[in-house]
This record gives sequence, structure tokens and C-alpha cells, in this order.
Amino acid sequence: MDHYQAEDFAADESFLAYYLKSDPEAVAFWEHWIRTHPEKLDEVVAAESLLDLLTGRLPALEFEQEKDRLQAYIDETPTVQLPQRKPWLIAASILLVVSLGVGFWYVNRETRTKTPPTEWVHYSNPNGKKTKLTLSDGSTVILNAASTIHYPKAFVSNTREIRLEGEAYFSIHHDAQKPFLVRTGGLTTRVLGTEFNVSAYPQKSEISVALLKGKVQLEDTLHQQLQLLPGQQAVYQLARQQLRQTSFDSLAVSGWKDDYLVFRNADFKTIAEAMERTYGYQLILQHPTQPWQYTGTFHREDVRQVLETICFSKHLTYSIHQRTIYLRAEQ
Amino acid sequence: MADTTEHTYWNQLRKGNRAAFLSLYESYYQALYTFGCRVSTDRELVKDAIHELFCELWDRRFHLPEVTQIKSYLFTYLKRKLLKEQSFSFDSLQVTTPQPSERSYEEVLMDQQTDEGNRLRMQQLLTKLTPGQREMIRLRFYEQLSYESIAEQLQVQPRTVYNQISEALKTLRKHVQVLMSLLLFFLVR
Repeated sequence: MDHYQAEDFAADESFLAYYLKSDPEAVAFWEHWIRTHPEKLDEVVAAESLLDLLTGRLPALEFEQEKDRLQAYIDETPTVQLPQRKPWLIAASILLVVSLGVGFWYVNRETRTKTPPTEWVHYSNPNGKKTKLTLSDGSTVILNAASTIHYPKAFVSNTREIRLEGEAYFSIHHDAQKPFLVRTGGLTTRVLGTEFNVSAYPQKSEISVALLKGKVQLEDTLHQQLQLLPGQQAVYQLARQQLRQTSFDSLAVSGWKDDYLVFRNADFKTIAEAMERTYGYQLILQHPTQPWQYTGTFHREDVRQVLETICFSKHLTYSIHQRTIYLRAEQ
Repeated sequence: MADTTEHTYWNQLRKGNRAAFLSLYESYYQALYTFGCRVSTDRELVKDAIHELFCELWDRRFHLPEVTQIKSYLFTYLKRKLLKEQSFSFDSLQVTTPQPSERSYEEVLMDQQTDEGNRLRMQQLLTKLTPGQREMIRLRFYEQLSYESIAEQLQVQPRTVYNQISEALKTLRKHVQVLMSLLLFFLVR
């Protein structure tokens, strides 16, 4: 098959079965073959375009868009809208921190014995999807793509504790009696009522907490503490267990919740991760060039508009094959 | 044989299973789309009708009937939807609703092209093939018959069918570049 041209692929029985997805064996075979023969990608893509033309089927990319449209429809009503409780409005600005860090589920033993078992809600977003959740105390959480949150159906203990993997933007209702704790691997954020963004994607080497309003206090497993004021950000290096304070650019940090995609001197890996989360496409750079320092802001643009802009500035061309985007140097 | 899996999905959908619903969508989408394009000339309308069809299935998931012929159930559903759209526009013109005739392969392929220039290019492209090649291409890629069945139907050797189709594809490939660049897989600049 190494000598195959587009027309040979298209004429091949098993390739057609792969294209039509009518035979799982053929699908597995060709998916593997295509991955291991990147030099044939142009011919494969041409063969698939020929087949798109002749079978009268909807081209793959358009089909994916239609599928997204349907998924958006069925996901329109999230299953976790819980009744709002009246917020307590107690003014207080001093925040305390108690942190546990490693033990995610480590709830105060006293409270645990006194209260009935808490019912937990687990909510996950796939790539390309954001969800706004309302918690039982009226606090809202905007959960970013590729992220999971665990929270109790009702906050019955002395603290309001939730666990996060990935990224979320919190608007927490003030309640001095019941501090709100966000647990992410190795770092706990403790607040009474405030607005902040937590980014703790498992594939990243750091956790960051950016504060927009109010006050938060952070503590890691070594009991290092840091208090943030609005406009400040804490970055926690997981490997070195180092907690440091920086300033931040609010559009770059929390613009995602308003559908902004922002790159500031971003390397290829950062861009690829963001594109996968936002659009569900995997990016592969076929011939890595010099290190990237890409800066750009996008607002509600589709994946192709974003790609075209990036490719233009980096002198690259791209081709899309199913859910993978291949980038290579312009000829 | 594939039927049993799809029946399982159908019954799981009736219990509200989202994953089963999406599997049904993936299994039947393309068949519904090509079928829809035989009935209607407007591919965007076909896409919308299929979208609506699945939205309605999802909304009524707990009230769906047990269905033995899922494919024909969905096809009938879609056809009714498309005809309703068409008769609606016909009615407003005070024209008696004609029974829409099935569209030919060539017409369907041309309708896939969204702009007029491409429709013409597609038409010209098809004239590059011999009538025999066109028929074989239709049977192979549109009806999705195997080389053997095509050979049987046309009373020729399977090898002949393969060679003819291979030739036809080569010809198309050569002339298709213009169209291709306007299709969905493309290179920037």
C-alpha cells in the first residue's frame, strides 16, 4: 500500500469499508495504517474527498458539526440545576485557612460522625463544552471543558467543600459561618465569598488561582500559606511544592468563561492543549520548528478561523483528518 | 446481524440512555442523509430535517414505540418531514403537490455542490467518464455494492469492473483538484 495513490485507496474494498465505517476491523486497520504513514496523508485525504464526492455522503467535518449541534441540543438542560438557597449576607473580610491537600476526601472527622452521609454530585465536561452550575448555597461555578467537579448536593457540614480537576470560575456566596474550600491536587483554596478562577489540569505542572473579587487564602501540603488580593494570582509548582504570587491578565486567565481563547507568548504545547479542550481536535505538528511564542486573541471563532490565523503567522499549512489536525511547514 | 445492536440501542434510548442515542445517530446519519438527498434538492434542508428528527426522538425518548424496522421507521419519518416542507412551499404557490420523483445519481451529486460554479464543474467532471464507468461508479459508491455484485448485475467479469472503476477514479482525481480545493479538506493559502 506504500505505493498507493488516492485513486487506489478509493478503489480498495477495505478502505471503502473503513470510510463507510461498515467494518470495525477495516476501521481499526486503516486508522492504524494512517497514523503510521503520515507521508501518505495527502493521498488519504484526497481519497476521502473523492469518496465524499461520489458516495453523496455528508463530508466528515460537516458531520461532526451536525453531531455537535445535536449534542448541544440534548445538553441544553443540565441535570444538576439545584434549588437556590437564600444567600447569607454577612460582611467579613478576614479569611482563615485550614488545608489538607493530599487527602481529597478528608472531611473534618467530627462533622463526618455527626452528619448523615453527604450525597455527592459528579459532573464532567468533555472537550469543547462549558457548563454553568448552581450549587445549593446559590454559588455558581462555570466549569471549563475537559474538567470534572465533585460537590455535595447540599452543604450540610461546617464547611462547603468541593473537589476540582481541571478549570473552573467560581462566584461564591458569602457565608462567614461556612467557609468554601476548593480542593485541587496538593493545594486548597479557602474563601468566604468571592470570585476567582482555579486552573488545575492534571497534565499541567502547576495549579493557578486567580482572584478577581474578595479575598482567598491558599495552603499546600507543607502548610505554606499565601493570601491573595484582587488582581493577584497564585501559582503552585507541583514538583517543587513552591507557591508564589504573580499578577495576571484577566482576559488570558478567565476569558474562557466568556468564550475568549487567548494566547500570550504561548508555545505549541499550550496551544495544542487549548485547542483540544476548546474544540475537541488534536493538533499534531509534523516538523517541529523553532520554539513558538504565539500571541493572539479569538472570540467565538470556529476552529478553522483560529487555525488559519495561527498558520498564517507561523507559515504553516494544515489538513484536517477526522478529529486530528496536522500542521506542517508551507512549501 | 447489525440489527440486534441497533435494537439494543433503540431500547436503551427508550430508557433515556444518551450514549445509545448517539450511537444510533452515528449508525444511521449518513444513510438518512443520502436518502434525504434523493428526496430533496436542498442539502441544508436535509441536514435540518435530520437534526429535527433526532431532537424529536430525544424529546420523546420515554414515549417511543418498540420498533422492529428501525431503519425504515427513521426513513419514513424523514421522508414525511421533507415532504411536509416541500408541500408547504408548494401549497403557498397554489400548485398541486406533485409526488416528488427520485433524483438521479448525477443530480444528487450536483446538488451536493453548494455554489453554482461547482455544480457546473461537477457536471463537466461526470462527462469525463464513459456511461459504463458512470454506472459502475454509481453502483459501487452510491449503492455500495461489492465488485462481485456489480459484475453479476452487469454480466461482466469482476476484474473488468475493478479496472473500469480504477480508471474512472484516476480520471476523476485528475480533474477533481479544482473541486477538491473547494471541498472541506484543504490547505491554507
